[in-house]
Amino acid sequence: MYNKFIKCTLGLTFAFLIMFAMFVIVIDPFFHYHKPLEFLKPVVNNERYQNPGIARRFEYDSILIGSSMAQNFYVSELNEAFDCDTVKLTYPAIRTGNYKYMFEAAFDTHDINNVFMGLDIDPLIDTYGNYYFPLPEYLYDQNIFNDVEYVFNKEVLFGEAYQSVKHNYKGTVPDINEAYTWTGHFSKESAVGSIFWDYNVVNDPYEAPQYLDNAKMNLGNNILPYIKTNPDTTFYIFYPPYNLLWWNWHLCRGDLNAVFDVLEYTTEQLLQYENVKLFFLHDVEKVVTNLELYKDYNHYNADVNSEIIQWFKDEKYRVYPETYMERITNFKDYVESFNYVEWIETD
Amino acid sequence: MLFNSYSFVFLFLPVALSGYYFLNAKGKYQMGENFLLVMSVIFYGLFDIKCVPIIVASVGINYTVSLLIRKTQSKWGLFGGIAFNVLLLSYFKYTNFVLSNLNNLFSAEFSLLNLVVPVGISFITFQQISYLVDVYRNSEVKYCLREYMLYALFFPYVISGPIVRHNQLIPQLRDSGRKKFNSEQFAKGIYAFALGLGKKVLIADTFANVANVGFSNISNLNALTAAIAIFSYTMQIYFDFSGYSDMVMGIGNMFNFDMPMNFNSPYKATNILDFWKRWHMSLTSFLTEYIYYPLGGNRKGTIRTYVNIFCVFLLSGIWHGASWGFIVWGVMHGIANVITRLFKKQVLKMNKVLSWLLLFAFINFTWIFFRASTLSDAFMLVKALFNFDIGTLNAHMFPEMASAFILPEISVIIEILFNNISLSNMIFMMLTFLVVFVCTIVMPNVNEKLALFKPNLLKALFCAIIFVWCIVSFSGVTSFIYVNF
Repeated sequence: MYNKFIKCTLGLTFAFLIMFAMFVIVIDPFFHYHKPLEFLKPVVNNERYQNPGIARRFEYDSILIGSSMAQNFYVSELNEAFDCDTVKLTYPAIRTGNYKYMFEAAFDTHDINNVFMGLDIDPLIDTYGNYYFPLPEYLYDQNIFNDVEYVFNKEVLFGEAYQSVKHNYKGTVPDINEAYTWTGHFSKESAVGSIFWDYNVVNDPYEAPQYLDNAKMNLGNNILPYIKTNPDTTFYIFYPPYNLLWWNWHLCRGDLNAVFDVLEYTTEQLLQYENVKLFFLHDVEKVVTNLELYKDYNHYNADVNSEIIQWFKDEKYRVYPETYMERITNFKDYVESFNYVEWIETD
Repeated sequence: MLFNSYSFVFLFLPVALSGYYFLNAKGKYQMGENFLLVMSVIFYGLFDIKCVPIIVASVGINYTVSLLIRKTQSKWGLFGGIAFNVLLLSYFKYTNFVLSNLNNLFSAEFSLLNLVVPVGISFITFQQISYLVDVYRNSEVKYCLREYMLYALFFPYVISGPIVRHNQLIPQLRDSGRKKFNSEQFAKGIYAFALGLGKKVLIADTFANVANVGFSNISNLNALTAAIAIFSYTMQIYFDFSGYSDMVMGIGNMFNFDMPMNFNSPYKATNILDFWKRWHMSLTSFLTEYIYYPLGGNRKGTIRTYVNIFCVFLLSGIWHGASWGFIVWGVMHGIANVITRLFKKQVLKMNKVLSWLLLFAFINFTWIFFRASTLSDAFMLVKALFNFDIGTLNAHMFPEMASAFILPEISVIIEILFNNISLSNMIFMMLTFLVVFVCTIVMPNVNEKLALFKPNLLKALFCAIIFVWCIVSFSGVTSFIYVNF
């Protein structure tokens, strides 16, 4: 009878686990095994977990990628402007490793016409290999054994899978066009309220050679190879227009020179490729000096994202190999000579 | 690698069992023990590979010292061995505590060391000290290196105990009758492991979520939520530790070994003396035999007896961790023990319910100091508890605690069945607290269940459900708040 007990227990355990896994695999809220079922519209609400599946399984010919600076794009506007079909593969606090994963997944499985890409400074200067938020590796790698973390995961079944079924049943599936968009209180008061440094004190500049070293690794390993090996894909790359508070922070901190070294290097590297259209938006004065558009020292509202799409189309604020140095130099002079105190303290 | 992980349940344990019984079936018993030893080292190394050389070297040195002690019966050899173990433990576990206290006391600027504390070093230290003392007391105690290493590093207990004595394991290793697969033992092992896993994963970790909310937001608590935080931790530590002990017992049974009982329904105790006969029994046994008795026990007069008892509990506090909270916890238990012994007659005559209430309140209170990050946090929590401000149910972290308590599968049921989710969460939490609490003081523990174990389909179904429920709880879906946002 003890043998029977052992066999029964192990057999039932195995059977229940298989049943559980089948539910997860069929609903597949992270699109790890198959594209969304016809009767189950995708509920897109979790970038870290869903982006790899979206990149591999969805139907599209263009991708939008970047940080929170890119999350407020509406893919419908991109599609209308460029007559394409775009998926959003953004990550808050993106790092270049995220770009690499998404490029690998997208280019391996699709012919990509356009990549609309925000490129922030932080991912470039961060230590190569770092992620701001850890990734669920089992959804990013090819190791089938660690899929146990997906198929035997009650938070997947009772969380994500349940939400997917519930929304489809109730007809409340969120519009994918609005996925990951965010809002907030955009005003000068809000932007100035985010200042955490003393903008009256400019510290002596210090050397930060690690910024450039990291940028070389990040760019060279995780971004440039995909531009190079996909010459038929147009990369619309933009530097998000942080407001001048962000630049003031680096000026006061003392690492402004190092940041500009990275900006110069990155621009030079990107512009060597013909399939890159690079948009230098840091110096768009009407935006970066208007704190009413911002909720903090770098996050702008969705209207700015919509304008950026138009700039892509009109090729406004684009830089070229023969013009980028002048743009960067002029902007650096502008940042260093700007009257921040008056700008911040007067209405 | 934890017991509650996919890799342990799906890979490590099946491989360890299969390999061991396969080799035993071929009559290769020594190879089977070597296999278990290798698996134990791998198990340890998966926690921190860098600490493997330290622990293996410690085991090797202790074994060498034991040979010397057996040969020479040298007291200095024994003292040297004990000193080595204590110094090794002290270096890794207490150096930074001492340095930071010196910095605070004398405004010094000692740099803290960048140390990684080898996992389980506290347990391994006591185990090895017990062996050296036993060898000194009885030179007949004689094991080969393989046996000793397996005893010291056996994976079921190497990380978190119990503190197993050599004569509790090694005679079983030598018993050829235990080499063959025993379906009764294995069935009991599965049952104990399932119950232990359920206690740890489903109950302890759930209460931990509530305790963590409370202990991370002490300044926001009122009397009610302070009490909930403290009670949650009382439940968490009980189910965590007893669940772990049950899993050790279960794994031992699967290998056809009887592991020592470490928990005997301690929250059923009606006085502090009874409590310490039930809670972490292997630690009590070690401290009694190797600290209390050598100090003189109760043979040197009443005052000295109480001093000895106090020293034992002070040492227990220090052993548990390098912080003033643990020391205060140990001191409080020492004082309670002394006072109970002083008034033992009256305590034993007391109404059992009253006696139990007083003890349970005391235990809850002392856990504050065990769990709080700092002494000032502990005192802040005590202050919140005794300000007697119950407040409303929508404030002071109560909704957050309720939300942290609700498992996703329960959340789905509540959402489907009830309209007011927030209120339903709170009611569910309080009801579950009550049910779980009643179970700890009423239901038989796993040892008692195993003694009466009769396999049937219902128990098999129960075990299977627990296993599956736990396995699908090993992983989650984490969310991160982007604070720059």
